[in-house]
Amino acid sequence: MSKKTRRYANALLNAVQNASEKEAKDRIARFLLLLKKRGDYRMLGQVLYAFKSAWKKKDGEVALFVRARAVSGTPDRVLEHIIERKGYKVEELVNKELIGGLTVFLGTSYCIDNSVKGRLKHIQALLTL
Amino acid sequence: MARDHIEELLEKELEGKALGPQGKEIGRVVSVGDGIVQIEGLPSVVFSEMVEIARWPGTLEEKPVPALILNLEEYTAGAVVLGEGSAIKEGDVVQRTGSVLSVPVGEALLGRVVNPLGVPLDGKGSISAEASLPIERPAPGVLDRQSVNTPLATGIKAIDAAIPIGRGQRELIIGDRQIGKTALVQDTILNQLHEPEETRPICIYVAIGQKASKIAQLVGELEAKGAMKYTIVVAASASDPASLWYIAPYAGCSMGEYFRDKGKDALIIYDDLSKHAWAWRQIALLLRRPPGREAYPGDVFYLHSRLLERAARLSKEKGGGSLTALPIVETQLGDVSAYIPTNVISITDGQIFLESDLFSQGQRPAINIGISVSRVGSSAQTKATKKVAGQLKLDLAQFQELAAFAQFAQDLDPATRKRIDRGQRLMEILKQGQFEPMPMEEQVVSLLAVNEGYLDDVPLDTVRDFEKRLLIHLKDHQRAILQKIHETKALEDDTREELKKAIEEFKQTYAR
Repeated sequence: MSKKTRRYANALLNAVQNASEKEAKDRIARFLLLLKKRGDYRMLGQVLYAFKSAWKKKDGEVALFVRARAVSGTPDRVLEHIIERKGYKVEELVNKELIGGLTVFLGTSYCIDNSVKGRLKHIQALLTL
Repeated sequence: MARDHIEELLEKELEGKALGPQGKEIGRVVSVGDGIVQIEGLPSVVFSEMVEIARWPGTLEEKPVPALILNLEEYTAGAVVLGEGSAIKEGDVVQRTGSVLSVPVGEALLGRVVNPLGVPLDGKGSISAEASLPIERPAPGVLDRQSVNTPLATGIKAIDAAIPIGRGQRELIIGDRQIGKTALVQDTILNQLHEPEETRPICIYVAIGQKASKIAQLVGELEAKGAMKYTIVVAASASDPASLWYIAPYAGCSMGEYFRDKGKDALIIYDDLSKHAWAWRQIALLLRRPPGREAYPGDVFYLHSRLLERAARLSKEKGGGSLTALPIVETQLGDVSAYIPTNVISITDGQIFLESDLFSQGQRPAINIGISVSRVGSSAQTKATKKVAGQLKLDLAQFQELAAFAQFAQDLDPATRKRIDRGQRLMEILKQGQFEPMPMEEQVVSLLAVNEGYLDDVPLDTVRDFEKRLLIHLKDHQRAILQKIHETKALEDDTREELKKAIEEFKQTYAR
């Protein structure tokens, strides 16, 4: 993703995030005309991708909790609350491939892997050293 | 002991003791194509760091794909894939390894064919290397070097006599395609069989972008002649990605530096650096670096200078070892003024020009001695060779001037005619077959025979036959003379007289 793509995406985000639906539609139409005028219409796909990432982050970075199976009942969610207090937006996902345990992704740049699959891979890496 | 350690680790891992969840920096693949991966995240990754790309959570059978970080941009990092990149997709997780790219080095690599990551390709099993060294290492400093004064015998008469190479020198071999550049270096490797084991240099042949069949043929020939026992072949063949072509010479250089730093001599051949520059151009363009002349990136000179500066002869305090480099550059239609050839010419300590005209005239190896240079010169020659080869370049230069003149003149005076005849016989003596490297003492005999005029009355088309039979005769009947020259590396007056007498005796039997 180039700097230019991100700048377009951030500009579009600033234009539409606090606008009403009608205003947002007008601004998007003008944005598309602007891209055409500047000869950057071919970058539309990348701009939209960057806009999507920026939109997700606008209310804070996403902390993704991935579990091997859905949590039944009403758990305490202690860990989730701690993460939320740090300014993250918590999302949850179930992935059976983890076998067991939990993996937490903080944004796109940090990960705490306490899943069974993660531990098995760690052991495998140690054994192949 | 290793088993106990593994059992202890396994217990701790399974019981969750002391190896609890570790947080780690990760990145995500945002785009992949043409061997280049753009990664988002990895906020603390450093330049030239190795990372691993894998599906998440993936399976235990899937191995992570290694990649090398080469671009650090504002929001993303660009990495070049070092393995099979076809399975990488957007969203794959990228983890740091915390280390720069290293290759296995050591005696265990001798006789093996490996790829630039040190993975064996010859089917002879895994390699238990003694150590590993980063592929990018600083060159020895000025005070850590000493001057080059020990010959590296190539076994090629034209080179050892007129363009001598010393241990620790960088000598470029430059010429068009299919002119004998690889054959030249192959014979240089084979000639090291004539060296005693204690002083024999370890040979490393780095194949960059060569056909796999050509590499296999070369390995087969080295094995058949017993040269593989002191040779390592690093192969980045034509079917390998540009990233492997790019790192191959540096990986080979690290393998050679291991021996150099241990006080031994090593010889490294880069075949060829033109393809190495192409690979770097391809990677740089895909990383969107600004293209310069001929679309090469601006640091293409540094690409080769930092590689070739690592070839050096170390001082006695540093062990006295040496790494000699023979880079090969392919020209197009003899154009030595092109970008890459001029770059490498200015870096190396001399160049050996191979010319198509000489090749098609039957002069093989097709070395143009007139314009070839060795900046080390006679410091890298034995005393014996110096005595017989001192006038060689001058004689050849005079012959070439006169030969051009003789095409137009009808009658020549006897002195000029004699000089032309001598020059023709000299050119004939400098011809040499492939896989026929000649030890130093035999070269001295050949050159002495032509210098003293023993070949002046031998018909031109039988000169090589005369030389061959002379050497057989000396090996059968006068081995002591050859042995003396081999041991003393000098041609004393008494030895010279004995040799002249032996040649005269042989000439009489040859004439009959």
